[in-house]
Amino acid sequence: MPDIEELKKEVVNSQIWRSIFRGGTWSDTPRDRANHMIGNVWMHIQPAKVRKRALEWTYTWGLGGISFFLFLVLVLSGVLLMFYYRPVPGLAFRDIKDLTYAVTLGKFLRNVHRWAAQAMVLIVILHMLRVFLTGSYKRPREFNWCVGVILLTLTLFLSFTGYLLPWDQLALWAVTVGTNMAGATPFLGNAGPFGASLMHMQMNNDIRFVLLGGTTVGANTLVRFYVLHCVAVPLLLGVLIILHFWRVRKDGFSAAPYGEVTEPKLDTWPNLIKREYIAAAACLLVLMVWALLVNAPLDVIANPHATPNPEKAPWYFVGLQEMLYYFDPWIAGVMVPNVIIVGLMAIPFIDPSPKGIGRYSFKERPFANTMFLLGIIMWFIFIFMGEFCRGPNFMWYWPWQSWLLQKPAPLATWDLFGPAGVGKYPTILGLALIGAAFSGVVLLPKLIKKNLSLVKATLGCAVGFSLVALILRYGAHVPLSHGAWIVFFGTFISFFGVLIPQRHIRHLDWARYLVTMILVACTMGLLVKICARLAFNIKYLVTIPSVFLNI
Amino acid sequence: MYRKLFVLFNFALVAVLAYAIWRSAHPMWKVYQRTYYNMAADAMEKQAATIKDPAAAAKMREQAEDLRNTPLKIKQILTVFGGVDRCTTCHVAMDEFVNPTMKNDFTQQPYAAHPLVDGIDFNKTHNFQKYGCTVCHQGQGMATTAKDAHGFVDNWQKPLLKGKYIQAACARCHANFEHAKGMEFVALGKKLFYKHGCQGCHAIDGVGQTVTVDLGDIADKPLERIEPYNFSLVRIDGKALPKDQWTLQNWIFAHVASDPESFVVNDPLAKYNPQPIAPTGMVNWTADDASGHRELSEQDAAAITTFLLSLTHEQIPYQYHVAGIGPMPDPDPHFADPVAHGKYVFEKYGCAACHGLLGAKGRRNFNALGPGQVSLDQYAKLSDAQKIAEMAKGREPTLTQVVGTYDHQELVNKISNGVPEAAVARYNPDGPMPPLYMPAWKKRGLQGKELDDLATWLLTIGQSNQSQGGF
Amino acid sequence: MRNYFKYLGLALGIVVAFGLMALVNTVSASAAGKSAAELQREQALANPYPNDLGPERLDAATMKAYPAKFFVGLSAAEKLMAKDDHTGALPADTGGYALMLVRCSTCHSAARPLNSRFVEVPGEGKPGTPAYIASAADAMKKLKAEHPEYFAAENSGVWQIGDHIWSRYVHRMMNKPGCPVNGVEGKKIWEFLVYDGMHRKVGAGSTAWKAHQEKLIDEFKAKYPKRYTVLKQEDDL
Repeated sequence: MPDIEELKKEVVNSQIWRSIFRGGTWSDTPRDRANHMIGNVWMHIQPAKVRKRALEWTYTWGLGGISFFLFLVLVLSGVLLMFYYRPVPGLAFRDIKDLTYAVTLGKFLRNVHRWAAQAMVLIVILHMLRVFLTGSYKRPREFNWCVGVILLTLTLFLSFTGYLLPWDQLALWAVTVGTNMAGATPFLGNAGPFGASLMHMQMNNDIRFVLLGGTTVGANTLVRFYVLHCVAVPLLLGVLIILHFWRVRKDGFSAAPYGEVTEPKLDTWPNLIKREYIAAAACLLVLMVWALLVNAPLDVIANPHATPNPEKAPWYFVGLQEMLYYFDPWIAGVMVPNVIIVGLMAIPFIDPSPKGIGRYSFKERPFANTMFLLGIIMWFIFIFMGEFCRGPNFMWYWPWQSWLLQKPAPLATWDLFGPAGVGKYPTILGLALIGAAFSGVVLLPKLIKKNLSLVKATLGCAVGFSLVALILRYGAHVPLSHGAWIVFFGTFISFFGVLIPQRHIRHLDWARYLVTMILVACTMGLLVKICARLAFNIKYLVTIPSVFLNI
Repeated sequence: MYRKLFVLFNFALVAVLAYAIWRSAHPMWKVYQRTYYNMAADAMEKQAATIKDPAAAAKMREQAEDLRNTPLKIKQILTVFGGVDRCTTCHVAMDEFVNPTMKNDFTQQPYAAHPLVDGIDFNKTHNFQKYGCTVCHQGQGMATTAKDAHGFVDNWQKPLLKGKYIQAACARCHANFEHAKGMEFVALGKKLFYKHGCQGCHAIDGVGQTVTVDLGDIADKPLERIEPYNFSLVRIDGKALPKDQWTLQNWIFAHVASDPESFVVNDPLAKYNPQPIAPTGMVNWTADDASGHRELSEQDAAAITTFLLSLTHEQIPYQYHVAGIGPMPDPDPHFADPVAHGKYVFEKYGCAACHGLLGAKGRRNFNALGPGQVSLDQYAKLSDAQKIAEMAKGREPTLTQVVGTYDHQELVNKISNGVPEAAVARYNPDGPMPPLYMPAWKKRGLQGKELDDLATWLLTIGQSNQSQGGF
Repeated sequence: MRNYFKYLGLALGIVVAFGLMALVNTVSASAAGKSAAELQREQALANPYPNDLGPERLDAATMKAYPAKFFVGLSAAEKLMAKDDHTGALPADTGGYALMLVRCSTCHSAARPLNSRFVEVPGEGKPGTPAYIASAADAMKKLKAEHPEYFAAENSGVWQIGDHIWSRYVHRMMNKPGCPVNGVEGKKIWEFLVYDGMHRKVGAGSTAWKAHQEKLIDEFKAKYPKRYTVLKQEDDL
């Protein structure tokens, strides 16, 4: 038997081998380890050495890497699926059935693709959360954070366009809900504020028409979404991922503090690589087991004449669909997502504090952590409500209640401020009051100059709102249960909307302060509307029907 | 530590992938196919043993061996209707390339060959390689697992038609089903439909009355239009339906074989809606008719269901339509006797739908006036269920009782003008509007001689007034 | 890290409080009730006829002129009427007028039959026998020959003289579910109505009757114009 080591040496030093893999015989020296990274096109995006802190699992949790890995899984499984799928309404559904029943490993492939997509959305959101909590968006990484926000949006869009492709009832109607929200875009949508009146937007020339390629979800939409899903958006995503990785490298790689002394570093090979491999392997294993155990759902074939009840958007959009219960589509479907995206991108620029970069730290960044976590928690609570608490006709069903239970008709709603006969009080008064309240919340923290005790101030607000509730009870016969809503929401909004900002950011410069407070006030505005609807059955705080403007 | 993890995960990944491949390579249909080939080969060898000529016997044994070793693969039929049927993957005996005689001695499915239907070899008239299977049997042809293929799953709305129900599929192409052999059950369904006056409320493609839904495409009804709450109330033979039996066939059958008021309850006490909504006005066909017999037996109900399941608007290529017999439709027969004409008119317009067969017993009409209802102040003290029961006692007039109180002209006027919905006298004025009303027949084409003769006939069936009180 | 758990716990606490609050809220509504009699009266008035606008009782002079048998048990009947009880028991010898008053006002007021344009010409002999039917037909022919104005089309709102018309209508009402009239009571009511028609509406009182009916129709047209049009179209005035 020839000597294995000798054989190995022969092969590795041969001309063929050396032309492909430079380097020759491997000797485990720092130079070889460094060359392994620098000399390989796939590896050299990573540095030759990394900080020890960056390697800890409990720092990054590997979330960014897993996101990218899931993307690769999706591309590979997606390409394989493309061999069998035709984006034509009469054939798409059948091709999915063929994949499930006739193609070898077809069911497994489809399941992998579906579950990887769901996982990627979740992992990307968690990655964003991690980056925020470690302050890794602060100077000099602001632009990379913005690129990341765009990547998040594109990931959601990819998932949304992919949703349509099976052409089943779920696909057709979820996309109908989503694109009808697009039709409510201000100025650009035929059903949005000022769209029809000012911009002459109609069903056949507005932004929804551009998205659908028609006036309803049909054959054109399927082809359009197919191209977006398989070609256009992945290309765009790829370009931005390259930019994203480049920036991560150039900005000093993970756990890099700003301006501190350099720390000792370890070789990337094998320390980082082995962790990346294990993360990818574990992720793939979970994915494959999940794909073997649970089948991707497929509803009956799309039928434009029969709407299922209730019809819900995919889980990552169902939080916005829950918002539709309280707001018009142009707010819930257009303004809220856009304000979220703009707000996320603004974060690095409104947070000038250099503290807490490269580590988890609550005490050093109380305001940032509080508000961001509040937003994330609200997002997931709305998803929970929309997914598990809404049943037929979008009535409220507790998660343990069967959807076969019949619910009484909802109570009649009323509008607070609007034209005569529509709203209870005049529009002008409403606009003035709401404008005043909004500006009040925005300006109040800066105007209160002295240091307040949080506990005392919160209690004070609670007492104040309780008084308001009592006055309403004995003066206007408002039941005490409604009063309880007022106390709860009033205190909550005062705490997060006024007291916390007052304590932490009243010394900020005006530009940053105003942007931050406007975002905070918008968030609190969401809660005000929810309280108004749930407690008092108020549909609109102010309504101007002639221009479709209803808040 | 990482080295251990590396090995562990690699091993796990390979194992899982191998399992996935193994599972994909060992589906249940392969088991059925292999079993069939073995059974067929065994039968062939047994046959070979009885052949005298050794050369022929050897040849047959060779054929048996070949059959036993046939490579296993998915068999599909690309039907002329544009679908794909993979049923022969498991039901190999029905594939004429494997089983040219299309006959075998096996009795168990999926090995048995296609049975003869009333002595007819179906493959001869409806070649399976062209027609496929699902055009007659329904089910999910694209599937390759038994449960999914038979279609009693969540995402398939046209599961197998079992037993005589399959004749519904015959009638979709065979417009001559009323005169053809093997389609007697669906023909019976159609006959019953018109005899009991169903067309008095339900038109079929516009022919009939418009009190409620047109049944011309009832077989295409999407299940999304049926509230799950209503399905959960359906009781067939006193038992609730398991989830995989929530099919259109059972929904229609329940309408005719049980009391529809028990599962299309709507909201007569205005608990869930601002206004009360009466339960369905559909007749309870399991109740007694005027002679005290159950009006439609379960067999009758199944026949009518079969007929209704044949009513579809799905386009079948015209080459596969089999024309009906005679000019379409049958023209009104000519009657010399006005009384006989009147009776025909009564059946033609489906008056039995509301007034019973030959007007013998008025059908129920929720919250109309009816016999046995308690006075309203007693009603106010009843429980909710009792209230609904009282309102459910409302009935249409029984013609044999009331026509005697009309003279000819009054009767003609009454039928012409009808009693509009709002004018139907309610038992409980706060309750829902009764679902059934008397149409203004002059607007529905019943006039002139037809109307006159109808009145003439009606006056012959009424009881005499003198029988009540002697005046 | 501990700080995160602290604030997570706080956030969950807020969520729990929110959920508890959502469980608290209920609103209920109640509806008003009406007495059964009021409801039924409302029902009848929803589809009125000109008859309903006339008087609900015979005047004293007419009552004196009519045979006493019709008015036996009238005080007991009026007592039931005062209590709005139409199904209460009445003695076996109660007369047709008293019975009509109590029973026929179950579903509509007594004004409807009293001011009805129907007139039935009685025959001779036992009602229901062929002899009776034949003589009734003869009597009606005779009346038509003598007074063609009773049968004229333009007077159709004043007189409607029909073959067995009261018999048919009383039977029709008896057939209606909820009607408390049985065969015996029905026959008495029918006898009264036939007598009333022949003595108040045709013959000597016919001019007064015509004026009375036409006045009712004019009142009706003014008060219920839509219903007037509908009834006119259906030839039911």
